[in-house]
Amino acid sequence: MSQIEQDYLIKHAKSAELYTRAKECFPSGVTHDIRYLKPFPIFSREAKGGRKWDVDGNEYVDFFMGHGALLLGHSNPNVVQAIQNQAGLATHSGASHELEVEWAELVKQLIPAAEKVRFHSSGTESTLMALRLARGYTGKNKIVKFQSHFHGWHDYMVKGNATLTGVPEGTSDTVIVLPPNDIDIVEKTLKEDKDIAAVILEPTGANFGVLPIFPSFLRDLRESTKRHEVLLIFDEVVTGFRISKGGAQEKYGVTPDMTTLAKILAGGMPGGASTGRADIMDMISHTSDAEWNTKRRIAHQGTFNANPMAAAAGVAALSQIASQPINEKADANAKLLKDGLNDLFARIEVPGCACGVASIVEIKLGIPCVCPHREVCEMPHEGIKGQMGAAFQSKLRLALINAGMDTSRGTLLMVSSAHTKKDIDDTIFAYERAIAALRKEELL
Amino acid sequence: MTTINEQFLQAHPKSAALHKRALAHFPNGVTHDNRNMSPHPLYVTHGKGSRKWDVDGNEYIDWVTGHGSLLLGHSRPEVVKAVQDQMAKASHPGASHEKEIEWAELIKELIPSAEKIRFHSSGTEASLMAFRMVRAYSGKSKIIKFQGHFHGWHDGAAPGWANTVGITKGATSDTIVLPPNNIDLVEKTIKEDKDVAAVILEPTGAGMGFFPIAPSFLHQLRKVTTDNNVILIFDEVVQGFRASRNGTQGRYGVIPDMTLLAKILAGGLPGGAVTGRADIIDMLEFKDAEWNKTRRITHPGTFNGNPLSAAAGVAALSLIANEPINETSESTARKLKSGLSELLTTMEIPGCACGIGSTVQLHLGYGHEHAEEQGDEICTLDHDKIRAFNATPVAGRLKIALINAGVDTNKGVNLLVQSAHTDEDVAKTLSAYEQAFKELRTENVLEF
Repeated sequence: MSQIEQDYLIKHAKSAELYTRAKECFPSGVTHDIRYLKPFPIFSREAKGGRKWDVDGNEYVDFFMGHGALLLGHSNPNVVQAIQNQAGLATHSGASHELEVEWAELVKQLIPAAEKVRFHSSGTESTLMALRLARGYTGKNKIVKFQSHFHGWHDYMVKGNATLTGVPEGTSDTVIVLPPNDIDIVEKTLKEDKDIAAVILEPTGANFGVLPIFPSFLRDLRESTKRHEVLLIFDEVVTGFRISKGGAQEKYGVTPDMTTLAKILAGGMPGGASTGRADIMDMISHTSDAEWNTKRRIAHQGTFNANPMAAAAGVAALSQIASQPINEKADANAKLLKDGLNDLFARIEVPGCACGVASIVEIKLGIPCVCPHREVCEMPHEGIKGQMGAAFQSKLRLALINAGMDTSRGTLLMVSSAHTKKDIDDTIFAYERAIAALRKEELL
Repeated sequence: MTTINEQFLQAHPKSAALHKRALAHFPNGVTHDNRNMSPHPLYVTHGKGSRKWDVDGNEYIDWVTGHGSLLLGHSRPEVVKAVQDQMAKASHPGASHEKEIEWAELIKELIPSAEKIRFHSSGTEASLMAFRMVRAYSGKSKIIKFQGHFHGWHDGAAPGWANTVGITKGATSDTIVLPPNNIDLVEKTIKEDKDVAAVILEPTGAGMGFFPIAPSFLHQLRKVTTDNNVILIFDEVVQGFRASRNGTQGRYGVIPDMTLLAKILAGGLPGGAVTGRADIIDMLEFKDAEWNKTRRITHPGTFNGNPLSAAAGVAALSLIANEPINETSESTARKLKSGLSELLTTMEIPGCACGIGSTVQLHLGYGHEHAEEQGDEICTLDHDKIRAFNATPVAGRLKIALINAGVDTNKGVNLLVQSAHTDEDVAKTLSAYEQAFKELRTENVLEF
């Protein structure tokens, strides 16, 4: 066993014990694919601001940040209070309630494309509904998506991301996967196939922007979809309220027809929304026409749509984002972190860089970076994808955890407004120690 | 005399004003199809035990009970405390946590078919994953479901429940819809079509049991699916922990291969789970590189097993496991059923009140006797006759008339009982029905 693994085992005896129990309950002992880690994942106990603690009492600077849901950091006092208050009032009133209206008003205030809103329980549900609305509205069947872009785990959007095991052919056949950043191929496809209802993408690129979309491509897409009367959907589950208060669409000045939201939207609670042009969203509306209601209207139940707990947390989070310099703070933290990490990589002579847009920081190791301003990288995606093997990445995560820092894959950092200068300094030091440990094992 | 609609409008000016605001934001101003009602929906501020209050200060005895997710009543102190305590710790640590294990262990203790579990954000997600798992596991494509049964609003589950506008042909052509309670038809279909992966149903019937499934049909289904190597899925989103603490499967002793859960599962917070045979759920397990790449189903999901839902779920399920929650609600449901049936007789309204466990259904428009062995639990009235009620003018008005009388229900005819409901709630509800029926008669809409 390597030193990194030994250190990990010694520090996490209670997590190991819990994992034994978890394996009896869950496939591979985890409830989310990304938590799968050899020899076992850490089990968290609590979190505050930019830190979290595990059941063994280890402290971490946390850059998982609720998979990107916690732009305000863990346990933001207003969000905590909103949830605690609401829990005492009602978790589910089985009726409409005022907070859902306030929540929608904040979404409309912040997101340029949002004319009408439908709340959901998750981002996966949001894209499922957005695709159905697009097909229902246009009467066309096909959807264009881009290689590796993630739009939830439902059957339609597996293609181009993961194995199609268990997905009916008739479903995946209606999805066209194209390479990103190539407007000519999009243009050709839309021109030749008149059965395309919509184009959907993550507007900053796949994997939280690790495989970047160029802003110019967004403008080209808008133009091309408009010309061919095809709907444009921005999946802003990750980027909504993060890339700017108004998401990627505001930052780059490209307004899609529809937008899907989740994560930050619900302040750390489960929640999602499909939103966009009122005429499309109104595919869900009952009218006085009985024929429409039974034959054309899209039915949509959902016990937890806009539930008061998610609404309370969402309102508490979004109203701070709307009225305070939350994004500015998070972006400034990200800049500090990128600068510190890039200095470190130069100093200890590791090829690679830290880059990313707004408050997302991603680290590339072992490859030369072409990332102007350390924001959007311009190297070919193939080179980015092949950079680090799974074994290296898993060791990097263990080494970072040992050094007191936790983040997705060890290379993707979701920065919050609650991270402090000390959190950032500790993180840079954690990378230095982790890289030293990896070097010792000749992995770098 | 003021009409039912006039009374409603007079009592709810603040709800009306909020709905006006909401119309600019949501299709029909609502966030769930069931809340679309004329003249406008209610805006609720809070709930406690069996009661809830709206923004105009009106109090209601609540039988909607969070669409069935609140078996313990609103704001049950143990659940409130669990959520508040968890919130002080973390809403999303981006890591595994102990509460998710406790939650899973309670499910395994309570639900007979639960060997392994995957948590989701909703019942719709749980059903979506089950469809995918059975296809990946069996290598077959088709799924049999039953007319009117609801398995979430995802595309593959729409046939037989709603129209398929905006759904690709491929997503629906693999769903076979059969009439319920007809085992011969199921057997014939499975025998003739070797591409059937699974049979899925709401084990007490469509519409939260409004269109009942005969328990004998469950036993027959189990036998036919086992004999033909087809997976049987119980969608217990409504009835899990409700039909009995062990679900419908525990109540009737029919163990499916897979079970879908939500609602009560997460103690009133968003949450769902797909559970069942370990070999099927393990389609999500990480194994060798080849398996991971070509056979394994990938499944992220930011809020899977999130700590707040887990905390509420653990608090709710441990009460259900250890206290007579189901017994109390079922006993209240029996009183409600017999009271409603008596009222119908006294007022000479054709119909009956029936239902399993803590679910109460009111079937109006047809007088009939119940089969003796099923008592007041399962109405054997023809489903077309049950459905005919929806086309009557009573269907739209009964809910409003009951709201005027201080009682909130699903469409006036479906009531979900909680352990927090008291005998006084039952008595007041019966008076409210009497008043509502009288008003409907005055307006000449109570005519069958």
